[in-house]
Amino acid sequence: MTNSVTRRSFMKLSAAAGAAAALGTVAVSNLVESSKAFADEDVVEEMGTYCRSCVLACPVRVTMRNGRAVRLEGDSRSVFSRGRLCAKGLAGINMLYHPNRTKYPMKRVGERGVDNKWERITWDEGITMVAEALLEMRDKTGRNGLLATSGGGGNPSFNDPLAFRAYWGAGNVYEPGAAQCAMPRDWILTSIMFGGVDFPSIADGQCPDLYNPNYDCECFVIWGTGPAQSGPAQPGRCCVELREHGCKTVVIDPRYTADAARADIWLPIRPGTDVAMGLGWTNYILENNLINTEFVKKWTNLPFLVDSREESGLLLRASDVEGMDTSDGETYVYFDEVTGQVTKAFVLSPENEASYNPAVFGEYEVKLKDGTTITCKTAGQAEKENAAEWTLEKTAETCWVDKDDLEAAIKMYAEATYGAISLGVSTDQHPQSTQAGMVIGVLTLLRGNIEQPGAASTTRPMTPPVYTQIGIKRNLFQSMRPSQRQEWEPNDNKSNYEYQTPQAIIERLGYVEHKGFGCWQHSHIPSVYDAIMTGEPYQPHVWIERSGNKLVTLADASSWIEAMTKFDFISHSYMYPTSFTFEAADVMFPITEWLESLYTQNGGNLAGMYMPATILFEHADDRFTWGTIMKKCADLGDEQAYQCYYVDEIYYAQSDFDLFKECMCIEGKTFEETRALNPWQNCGDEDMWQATPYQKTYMGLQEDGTYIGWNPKKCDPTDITNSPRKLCIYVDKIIEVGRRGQHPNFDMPPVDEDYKPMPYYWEPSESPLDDTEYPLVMSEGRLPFIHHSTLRNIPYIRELYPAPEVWIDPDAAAQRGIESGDWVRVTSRRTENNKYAPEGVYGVAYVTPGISHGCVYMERFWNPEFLETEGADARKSWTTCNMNILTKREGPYNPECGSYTLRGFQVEVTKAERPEGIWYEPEDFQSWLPTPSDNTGGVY
Amino acid sequence: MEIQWSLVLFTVLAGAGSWMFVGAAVSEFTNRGKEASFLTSIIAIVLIIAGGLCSVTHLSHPTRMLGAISHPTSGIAIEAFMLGFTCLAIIVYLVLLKRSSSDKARKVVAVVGAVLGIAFSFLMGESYMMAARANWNSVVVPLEYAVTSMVLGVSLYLLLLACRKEKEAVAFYGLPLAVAGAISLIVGLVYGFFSGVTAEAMQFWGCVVVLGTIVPIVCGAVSMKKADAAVALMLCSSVGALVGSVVFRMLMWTSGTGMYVFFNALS
Amino acid sequence: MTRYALVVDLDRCIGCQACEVACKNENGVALGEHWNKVMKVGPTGEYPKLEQYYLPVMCQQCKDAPCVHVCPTGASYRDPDTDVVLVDKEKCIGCKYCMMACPYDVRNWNREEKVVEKCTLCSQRWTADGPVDPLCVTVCCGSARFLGDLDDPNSDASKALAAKPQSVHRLTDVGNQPGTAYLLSDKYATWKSGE
Repeated sequence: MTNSVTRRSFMKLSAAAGAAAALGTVAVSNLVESSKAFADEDVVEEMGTYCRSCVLACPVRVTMRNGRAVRLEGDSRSVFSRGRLCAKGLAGINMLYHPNRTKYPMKRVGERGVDNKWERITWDEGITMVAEALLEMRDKTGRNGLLATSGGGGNPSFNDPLAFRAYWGAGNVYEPGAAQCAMPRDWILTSIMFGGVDFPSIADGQCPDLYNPNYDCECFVIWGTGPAQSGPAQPGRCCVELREHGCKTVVIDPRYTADAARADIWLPIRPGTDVAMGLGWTNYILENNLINTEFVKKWTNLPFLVDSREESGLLLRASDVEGMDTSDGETYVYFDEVTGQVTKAFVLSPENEASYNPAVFGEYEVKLKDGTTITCKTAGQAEKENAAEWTLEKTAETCWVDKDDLEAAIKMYAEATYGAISLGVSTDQHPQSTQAGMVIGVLTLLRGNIEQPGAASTTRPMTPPVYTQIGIKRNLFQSMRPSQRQEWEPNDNKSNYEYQTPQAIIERLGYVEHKGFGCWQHSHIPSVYDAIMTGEPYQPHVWIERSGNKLVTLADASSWIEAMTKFDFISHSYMYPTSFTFEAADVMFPITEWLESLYTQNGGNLAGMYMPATILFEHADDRFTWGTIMKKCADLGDEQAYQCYYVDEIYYAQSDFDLFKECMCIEGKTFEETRALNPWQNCGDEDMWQATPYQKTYMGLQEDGTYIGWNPKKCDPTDITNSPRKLCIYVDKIIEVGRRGQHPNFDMPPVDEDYKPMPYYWEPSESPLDDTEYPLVMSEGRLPFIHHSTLRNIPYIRELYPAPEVWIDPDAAAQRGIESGDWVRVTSRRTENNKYAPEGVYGVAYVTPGISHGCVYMERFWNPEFLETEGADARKSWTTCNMNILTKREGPYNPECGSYTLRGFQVEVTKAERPEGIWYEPEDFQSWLPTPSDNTGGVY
Repeated sequence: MEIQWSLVLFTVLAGAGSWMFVGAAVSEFTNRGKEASFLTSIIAIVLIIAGGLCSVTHLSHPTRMLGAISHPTSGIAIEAFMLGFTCLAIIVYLVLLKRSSSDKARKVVAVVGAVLGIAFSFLMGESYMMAARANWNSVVVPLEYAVTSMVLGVSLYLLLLACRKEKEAVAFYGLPLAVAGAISLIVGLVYGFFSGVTAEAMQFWGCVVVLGTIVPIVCGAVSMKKADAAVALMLCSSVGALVGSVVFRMLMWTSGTGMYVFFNALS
Repeated sequence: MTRYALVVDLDRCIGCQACEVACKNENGVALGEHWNKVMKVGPTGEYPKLEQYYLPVMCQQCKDAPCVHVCPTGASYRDPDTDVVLVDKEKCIGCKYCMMACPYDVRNWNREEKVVEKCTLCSQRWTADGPVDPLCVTVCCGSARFLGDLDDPNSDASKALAAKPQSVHRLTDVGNQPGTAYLLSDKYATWKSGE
């Protein structure tokens, strides 16, 4: 059925149809007005699922009345959320029944970025368009012209684009986050420094032991993260309980956040100087001998000697040292304080640990096999000298914090028996991302705050599942497993088909230079951009996008408009149209809200899956859309897609939904029975916290009687074959990652310049120290009621925050004649000669002492109303209040992870008038309240 | 707080009407201007009912007002009852006037009506005495309601007499008007300093004090001597008193902020 | 005697506003209107030594409730069974005197129905077995809100009060005796919302 109608008139049509349907009919799975005020025979049911309004996935109880979701509450059994549910989760009902949801596939009528006109098509027509574009690309320039993108805004699975690219065989994947959100910390900490133990990001769902009601943590340093902002029901709640139980807190944040207001010390850091701050802490701890000496000696690599012949800072190998037998494998060397000898490192066991007495600091002479003698520092000594210049004075001056507060904060952390540091997204949004993660790793490990009671980084408590899902047919967990971006291996399939060649991996854009991307298998966004604009080294042709609004989340958003014109074909899958749909998409696919989705979910003590409360429209969980595209490519004759879908049976297409449902069932139970059990309690509180057996992780014993130590293989990309199983405070391993990469089966070309094994600071490329034109430092932040680019169209949320606040300190405001409540426009070097936002972007001033003085904070924002108002300029939806027009896509980039600049750059703020056409008063959002609409029929 | 115009008009009109009837009642005893009593009473009742209608426009569900019987002690219920009783007394008075019944009965009814009217003008302000609003929570507020109504009611009564060319009666009542003005001046000043609205120079000093009290005092005093100018004088006095009454009530609303602004639901 | 009210521990409130949205979801409160709202008090002080707290406000369940006194029709009333102060919207004439008489500006003018309404403690959900926590309490991310009978020492609200006896504050009492209590420790901030 094809109706040639505009989007707007489509809205009206569906509203009218809904009204008609309301007369006398009772729909069970749709919001339909009833003439009855209340009914005696209401059917009330309750069911359980998970929220996906952010990444934390709190379990939710849904009350259904006559098939309509009417109430959301948390599930009190969860040890993490304890039944709490934040505004984002509570927005679920508004989201589900939003009148402007995309209800069936539509294709563009007219020109990208000019005409906001769409016509309804069938799923098959839409999928065929994508598949034909892919095959045309394949024939013309090859498979690597694929760009598959996603994002964090309530996305159920980050894996889908990775899976599709992997089985398609080539191309690029990015999320606006990744290099700018979590990946640098995940890479440097989880996979390198901490030997597989999760990086300490409380706002990303890590730090399980801080929820332990035994509350061992004595000092919690909340660094560049806002637990109460990012996840009120889990990390926010966690910090409340920690404080109530006497844990002292330090908040390092330019903003005076809710957690800062309850902290013992608030350090209002200048954005972009976190590494300097961390080096200051490192220096103080080392200078004042506040390290956990026993832990550092026994379990870290600080005693190992650094090879002084190597400029890069590689550690010395035992095979180079005179008299050392390395027939049992390569390892490191240390200086033993008791024997006075340079000694080969060895794996510790209860029997031999007394004989391990390494020097952590100092310089020692080593006689090499070639007969020469060199003087080598211990890694500890190198680390100490590296941080030595960062005195309290210099650190306080660089970071714009009070010296006495700084010292008090360091002591609070370093003198606690059990302390924790959680590092948030802030440092990932800056070119010093990896170094910031590294310095937090150093501070964590110097104190031995890992796998300890109350530590931020601990092995997630594992509980054996009460129920197992079937999950076997069509390799469910190949294409649709929960998010573990690191572990993708498409070539591991039942027919041994090589889906992805080493060459295809190496040619991912920006990967050779920034090998941290290997961690999440992503590409470097600026390199992708350059390839789009120049065709070098190859041209991306087909863009399959699944997320909210890329124009609000990509740096230097305006520069992407021209890039969009270079694509042959772009599709967009989301719950409703966004600026991206208007500017870029040729086809839009509707997808399910989280209250309509069915897929797997990791659990803490509550295990289960996302369960649909209802399914309203002709849309699908996007994971089936990827599968359907793969199937269509197969049907149109693509050999690899055929292999994937028909031979290896990797994917589920929409037509396989019933099969998928069957696979999601608990063994021996029907879908309805499974649904009634969902989510089930895997263990009680007691078991949960007892199930954190520190003594069974690194202190546990292997069969050969040695300590398990720290994960040696997975996290070791080096030539060390007889690993002494240490944590890496000194990160020599990344030198080797830079030279070879981390792929077990092949070597990557080397980077131009070696990665450095210790943290180092450089002044941001745009700096308040010398910038007179744009004197204020910009920071981003997070708010407790919106997540990334979501919920700007949810009336109960938008009325709380109708326009982005621009926080500015009283002095800076007075100089500019700005008062709280004034509209202001914010400009940066990106708004110079910018034809989309020549005057800058707009927000509402909030004059407050609660911002690092000399800095401003602005939230990301967009205005969906411009897409929906008759006669409005749809482009203004992303050009009016969008702080990512100000941010910097151009270099410098983080050497390892390629992070660009979303914070810590320079802006100016000027008083302005409220921009025309934006919705601001609460009543303005009336048309977004749930309204009856027609059910367009299911796709499954 | 935002000015509630229906309530401003209600209290101005009903207050003026009540006090006009007081004039009629007084004439029962002074025998001056007695011939105007019928017309005075008619105008009084019209003003009170007009005021009552204004107050109804403030209500979104006036039909539910019958529920007041269930809670008769609330300020609004009392106002409603007082309005009814005052009108009833005036109607009875009018009936007695027409039937030329005994002087005594008529005088009794006139006094009852006058007392009810005076009380009514006071109680209209008394409803606003609330602990939640410090600027309102004093007996000076209902007193100011009563005295502004008094000056306006008396002025209007004398304007009526002047129009009926009862110069001698006007001259006779000049002094009471001046005294009423003086009382209103004193109460007004007390209210002004109590509530802090003295800061609103134009509105308080210009309108409430000068127009609302000084002008009637002067007009009253002058009319004792210059009966020829009675119409002009009483017109002046009435206009002044009207402006004073209205502006006082406006000030009461705008200065009536509560202790906290949370929902801002009354803005 | 029973005396139900909410007690809010401001030490625990993180200003996330989940309670506002939960209240709107549950009670269908219109855009721009409130039964429950989170105010921000501060930051004040000398940078960087600042202090701040969030103050969630809703009907304070006064013992001597002015709204009940001034209501001409008994629309504002005390529930005979629970003693909770409620509004019977069917009786409300819309005179707004209760809104003027409320010391706390926590009554809402429902523009569509043209009646006054306010926090009911979600007592419409209560059962024969007793009170049920309102949605603002069950979702509260800081576990900062407690419903209970202040006259019952075993209620959640009474227990919260007893746990921090030095930190109990109330909005200014002008004789109405508000039931709701706020807990705020000096170590976090000085109470600024009272006399």
